[in-house]
Amino acid sequence: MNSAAALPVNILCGYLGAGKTTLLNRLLSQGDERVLVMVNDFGDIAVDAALISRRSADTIQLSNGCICCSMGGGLFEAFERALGYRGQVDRLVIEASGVAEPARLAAFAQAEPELICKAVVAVIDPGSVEARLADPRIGAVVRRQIEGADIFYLSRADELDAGMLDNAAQVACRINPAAALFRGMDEAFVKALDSPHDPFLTSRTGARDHGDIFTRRSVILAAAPDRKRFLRFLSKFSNSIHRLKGFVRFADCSRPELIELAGGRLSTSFAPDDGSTIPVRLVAIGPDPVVLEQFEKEIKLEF
Amino acid sequence: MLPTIFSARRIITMDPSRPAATHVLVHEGRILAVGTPADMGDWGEAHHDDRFADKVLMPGFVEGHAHMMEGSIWRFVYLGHYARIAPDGRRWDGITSTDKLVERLRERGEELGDGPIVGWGFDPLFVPGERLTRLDLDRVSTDRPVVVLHSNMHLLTANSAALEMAGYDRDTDVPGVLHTSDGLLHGELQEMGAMFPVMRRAGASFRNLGGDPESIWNLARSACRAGVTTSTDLLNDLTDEGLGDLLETTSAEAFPLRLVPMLSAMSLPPDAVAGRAAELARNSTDRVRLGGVKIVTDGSIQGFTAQLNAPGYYRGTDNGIWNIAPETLNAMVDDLNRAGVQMHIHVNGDGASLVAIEALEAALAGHFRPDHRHTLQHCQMADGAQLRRIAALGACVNLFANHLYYFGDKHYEVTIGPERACRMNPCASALALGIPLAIHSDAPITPLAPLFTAWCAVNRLTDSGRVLGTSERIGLDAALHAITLGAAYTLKLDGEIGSIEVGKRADFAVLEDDPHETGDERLKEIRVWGTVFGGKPVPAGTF
Repeated sequence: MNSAAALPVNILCGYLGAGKTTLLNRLLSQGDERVLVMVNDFGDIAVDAALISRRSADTIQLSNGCICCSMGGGLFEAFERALGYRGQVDRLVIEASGVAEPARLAAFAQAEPELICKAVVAVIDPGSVEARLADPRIGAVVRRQIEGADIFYLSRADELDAGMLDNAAQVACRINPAAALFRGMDEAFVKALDSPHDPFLTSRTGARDHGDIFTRRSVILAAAPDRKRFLRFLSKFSNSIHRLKGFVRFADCSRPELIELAGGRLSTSFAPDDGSTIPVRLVAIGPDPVVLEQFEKEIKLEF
Repeated sequence: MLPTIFSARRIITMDPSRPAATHVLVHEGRILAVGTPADMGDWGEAHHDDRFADKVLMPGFVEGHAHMMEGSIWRFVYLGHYARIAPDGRRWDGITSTDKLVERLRERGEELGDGPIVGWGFDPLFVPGERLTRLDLDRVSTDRPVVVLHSNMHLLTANSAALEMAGYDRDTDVPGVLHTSDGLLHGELQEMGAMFPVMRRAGASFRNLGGDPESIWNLARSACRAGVTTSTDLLNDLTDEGLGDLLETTSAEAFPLRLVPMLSAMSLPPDAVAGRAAELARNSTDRVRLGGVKIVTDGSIQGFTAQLNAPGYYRGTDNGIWNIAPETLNAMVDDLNRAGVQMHIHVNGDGASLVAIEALEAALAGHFRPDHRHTLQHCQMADGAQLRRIAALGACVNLFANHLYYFGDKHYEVTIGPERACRMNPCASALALGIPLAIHSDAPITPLAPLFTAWCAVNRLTDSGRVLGTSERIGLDAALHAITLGAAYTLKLDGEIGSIEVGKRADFAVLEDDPHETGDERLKEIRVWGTVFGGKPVPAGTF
């Protein structure tokens, strides 16, 4: 255990063919960071590792599996090896397997003091996400990938038509309203990658620990609210709601805003225009289910 | 060396042409004759060995689904609910109270002198009182890390010193790191992520539980004690280094076990698996049989990570996982079938067995391969319709009979409910459809003991004494077949082992009692003397 600073970790998840490898390669080719890549998917494309290793400091391959069923120490070993590079690389990027649940991987980076868990990215193929979610075999896994992400990355945005992208964005945002949405790899995306993973808002993670104490509610509104009135409404709940996060496009405002409520403080900041067609999407968490129910009821009535 | 004639009280041959005998003639590891003294034939001079005159010989048992971890996990101290015998023969009583647990860990600490104290197999459901906390383990030591791995391997409880090493404190807000109501650390850590920082610092990492020479020997020790002469190691990365250890260790003259390690299909890119399997097959020896591949699809039923079809879990939350995407499985199964590689596919829930059946149907429709012996492993929840499709495929099943006893009550009350619990691991239905059947322990998940596994399939009794579906019980002879010739068949070794027949390897289980005399209910009480391996008697506990 050396004393180097904790190694930032990003996790890219998404079902087979969602575009994880393409995103990873674009990431690797543009920055000047030294990136260590962990590939958790031999999947159907064995070229993954080869493509990646040309550009990164090193690539660690790990076989998937859960100890109770596969008796393999694959994940343990891969993380131990990754930790061995601490101090020599700037970032660890894990390309999760197509069927991996991000929460399980993120838990390693959250728990290990020598790692620091940055944004978890769900890569979404706009053309297939709805069908995947409806597939009885893998729908639950795809849903958990969306639920566990801090960031959505819609792949192939440059080649697909806008209607399809909007639809995919809607589908994902309804499942996890607090995630930031990106349709391309711009500066804002790269910046967002460095934001910390928020296990509290991504619903699956931490469920065991917090689930008993807190209730969560998602709110999706179809009309852009008046800014002043909306913020006044939220501040009414600033002491009874534990945390709130979401994206709002106010009436007569050109840019969407990130709204956050934590520790009784409400804050707003401009968010990158994600092209979302949902004016209000947010998640609220609190200890009192009655309050949350009331919050949901009132916000729908008022706006 | 002269041929040897072993005499026995009775020899249960598992050969339908001659089911029983009293004498067997063995030379250079092979069987030359089986029958009465008169049947020993004209083989010239022979050495008479009557040490088994009051014992019963059976074909050496074949464990069709076990893991090398059975040999390695014992480096930690056993803390399970059920009494269990370690490879070195030491009998460990079940842990019935927190005080007993603390006492055993203290003893272990004294044995070790210094450093971390790690235990395994703990099941809090069986220990009365409050759930185990760090404070209990602080009674073992306040300065050495103490780590208790739970039996499901998905949870652990650590003492304060171990938690501190991992950097955990009251402010830690990490999924799986439990706190008590006063905000302090509880000590229980849930799931791999939260466990990792403690395990790596306490030297209890899973990566150290592989197939080093001592583990390989330990597996052979456990096997001999259970009358097993052939065991699988049903998931192995089989790197060149690992293979080297296996070949070298097993080549020792006195090594008394045939090992059948299965290459993990997830350890290589998919297009490299078939080639590697073929390459490995060329490295097979008498004692290490290579060439098979293992694919893991879902998780476990008791962990709620198995893939279940509707109506899903009876109680509790569905956390079904895939270790391989269904599309990827289809491609891999097709590829391996085409290449002539035998597959063992882990499927626990009926959602997983369905996906595997579909993959096999597509693969065999595209490339028919006679006598493929692809095997569904565990296959605990397959219903009649799935079994009929398995029969039509000509595939084998290796059912997890031990689950009926160890987890049966939980399945009945919690995981899948009464109806499906009463038909799970459907041995009788499989046999009625002519599906080749093996039954297994999945050691170290449950103890390696084929006679106990047979007892489970025959009686279908749970730990609490509940009967899980009398209709799926099988007869004694069918169960004995499943732990010998049946299991050998799933490994494509039935021409060589699994019955006592002329020409086959002289691998025997040596029993103090006759299964046909003890009867169905007491099958699990049969005492095992040891084995005969390649013609050489190997008393249990002597190596």
